[in-house]
Amino acid sequence: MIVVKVLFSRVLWALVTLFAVSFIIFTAIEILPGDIAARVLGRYATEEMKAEFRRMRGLDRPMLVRYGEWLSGVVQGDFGDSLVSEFNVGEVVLPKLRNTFLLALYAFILYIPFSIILGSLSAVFREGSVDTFLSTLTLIGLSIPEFVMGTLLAFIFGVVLMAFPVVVAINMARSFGEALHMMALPAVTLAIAMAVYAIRMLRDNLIEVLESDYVRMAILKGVPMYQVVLRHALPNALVPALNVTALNLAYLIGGVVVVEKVFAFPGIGTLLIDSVFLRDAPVVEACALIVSAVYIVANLFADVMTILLNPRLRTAK
Amino acid sequence: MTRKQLLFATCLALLAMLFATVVGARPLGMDTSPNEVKAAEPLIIKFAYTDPGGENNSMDPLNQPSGENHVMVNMSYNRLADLTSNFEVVPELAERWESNEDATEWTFYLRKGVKFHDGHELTSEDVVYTFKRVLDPKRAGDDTVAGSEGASQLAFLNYDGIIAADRYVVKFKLDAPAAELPLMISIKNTWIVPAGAKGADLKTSGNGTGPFIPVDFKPVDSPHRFVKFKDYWEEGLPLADEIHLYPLVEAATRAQAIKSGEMDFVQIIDFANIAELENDPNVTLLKSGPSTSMLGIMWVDTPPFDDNRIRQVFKMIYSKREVVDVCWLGYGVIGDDNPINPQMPYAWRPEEEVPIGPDYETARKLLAEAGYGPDNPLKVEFYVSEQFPGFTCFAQLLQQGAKEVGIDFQIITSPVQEYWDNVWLKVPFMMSAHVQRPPFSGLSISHACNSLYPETHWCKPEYDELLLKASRTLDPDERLALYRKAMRWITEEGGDIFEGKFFTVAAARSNCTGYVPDVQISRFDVRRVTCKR
Repeated sequence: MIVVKVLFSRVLWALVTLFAVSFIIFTAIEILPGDIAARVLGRYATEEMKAEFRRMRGLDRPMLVRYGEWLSGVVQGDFGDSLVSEFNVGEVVLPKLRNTFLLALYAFILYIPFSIILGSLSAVFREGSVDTFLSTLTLIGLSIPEFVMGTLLAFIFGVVLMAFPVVVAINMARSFGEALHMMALPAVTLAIAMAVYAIRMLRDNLIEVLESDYVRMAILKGVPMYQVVLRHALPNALVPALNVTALNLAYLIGGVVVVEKVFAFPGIGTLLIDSVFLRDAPVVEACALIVSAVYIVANLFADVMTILLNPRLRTAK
Repeated sequence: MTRKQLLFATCLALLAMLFATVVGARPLGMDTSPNEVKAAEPLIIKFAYTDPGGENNSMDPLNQPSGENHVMVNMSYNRLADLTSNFEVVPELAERWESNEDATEWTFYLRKGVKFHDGHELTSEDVVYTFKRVLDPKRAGDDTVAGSEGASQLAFLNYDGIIAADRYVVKFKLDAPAAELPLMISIKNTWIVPAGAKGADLKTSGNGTGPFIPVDFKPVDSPHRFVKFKDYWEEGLPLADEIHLYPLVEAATRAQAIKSGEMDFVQIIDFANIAELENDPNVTLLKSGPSTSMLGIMWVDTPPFDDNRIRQVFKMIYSKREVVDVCWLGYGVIGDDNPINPQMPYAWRPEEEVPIGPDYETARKLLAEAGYGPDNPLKVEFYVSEQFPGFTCFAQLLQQGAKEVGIDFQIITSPVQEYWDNVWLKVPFMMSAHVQRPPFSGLSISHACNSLYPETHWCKPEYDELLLKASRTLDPDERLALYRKAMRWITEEGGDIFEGKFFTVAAARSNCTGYVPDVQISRFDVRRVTCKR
């Protein structure tokens, strides 16, 4: 089975990649100017205080020793304690990861129908007014940075219409519905940011497929247009768009920082940034490894889906 | 599996995941409504603040790295005495105090019946332990390491001279007179903690005598939740049942949140957002007095700044008025090149007598006298980061003025988070900021020879003697005269440029009252905060 073979070699490579990533990050934090003792103790700490702090956290030992210790912990499933708060990394990261995951999933579910519908409309009515309108819209979307988009949506729907909250206090949500309502603005912002790429991609692919012989055959046979698109053209046009989607997924987990900041969303992006500034190696490592893992898995997923969606690849030797 | 089934299954899986995450997440923090009886809807106040400390946050008064930290510590603890915005000392946990004739022994009489959150009564033991822990945590029996400036600010206290004379009486026996001791011990680290409390516990428990108790405290919560302490010692206070603190880093988000009514109060509104909020009938803007300072600093022992003529040049090549009007949009006051701004009643000269500048002619003359000219221009590098509003703007005004008198003035911008750590105290010419302080600490914090923060490398034994003499002078007028001499000295010879102070602008919904922004950003009083619902 080709799928199993792909999976096996890719997982192996993924582990090697993650190992390399962890080492690079550890070294990078070490090399960055400024140290954790100064960050934690603040502007007013004396040299003695800082030295004492480093001794207590074991930071006076060589970097490789500390890395080795940390790695052996990770292999056993223990990511260690935050150097700053001394809480277990799992305790610090998991609630934030859950929030970000929730937001990402929400955005992703909005993104799929959004890009498929608009992409198909663009392709079917290509070079018409609908297409021109949508193309202009996606071009504008492409050129607006997420934080501007987020602020704009927050202003329109939060301040003027007062329909959705601009501060996403997800921890205070009392029900599933309330959580979805709270997260609507950041989720839509993210969905738009992802969809603008996918719409253009899908449009181009779909046009190509729609002009192929078997589609023309279907049309000549008298199959209704919606059926032509849904049953014959779309599945084949989806395959190349999958890779864009995989990249988008990775972006969702790792790159939502800006959107998180705009809506004060307590997610992993904010945690990552704060931890980098604090030089809190264990927390940075945990966040970065999660992001890397998502990236790797998303790409793997896209490849496997491509194989499964393309009957020709399924039977390849 | 066919293609169609595959796509269908994927969609189903996604939806199931979304549902599972939300539902499964509930025990992690959702739906933990306060455990009070649902008799009346509790009054929950939503307060947005800036400057989050992240993982670094702690409820231990000894460790306060950020503004977020100050806010929270202020809610859960009390000090012996409180300070007004004019630095008058008013009783808090101490009902009254007195000193002997030469101010070498101070006696504080504690309020009776004050309870800590854990239910035990405040006694002199708690107070003695608190001060000893600030002076020397290890010796007091707590092996916590905290970055507090408390030990150096309280260095005038004698560790063994802090005595519990009676259950409700604390004595401070000193080696030398301290005329303003009640003021001098009311600093941001001297919030009273229970005797024997360790930093490791305090950092999450926040066990003080203050009006609010932290709920399940975690450093990076959003929001941080605080509930009313039912046995709080001040009758009828606090007014709110719960306070929820939201860290909103983005200024635009803070403005939108108060406009839309999601927040009841916002601690700091950026100057740029003031105009849009001023015309909003649902929002009230609250302005503090002159709070945090902005200053350029020069090392007085390092060329070219070791020449007082050069130092004076940099103090006169810009317009002080322009800094306030342009960089702070009018929300601030000018400074007089020393830590005490001239609007303070105890400043050495009133605002009207401060030269506003620029005075290019004198500057060119001084430069020429110091040996610089068109063939031999003075070259300097000035370090800045947008720590507080107006920093970069101020640097640019200095640069314009420098160009006018023929100085090659390079601005080097540093990232905000790295500034105090990697730049501050490490380069001879840069920007800094200080919170508002009364004369005794304002003049010594970075100008005394043994200062922890020798910003300008200003170290003159005669200056230290002057401050020491002032701190031991019992007559207020005489003491003020000595402090004024010190201020004038720094203005005329020091390495401080400008030192004007900007206002803190807060915002409240118009149905909410009871919050007054303090000149000290580390002071945060929410006892009377309330909203009509």
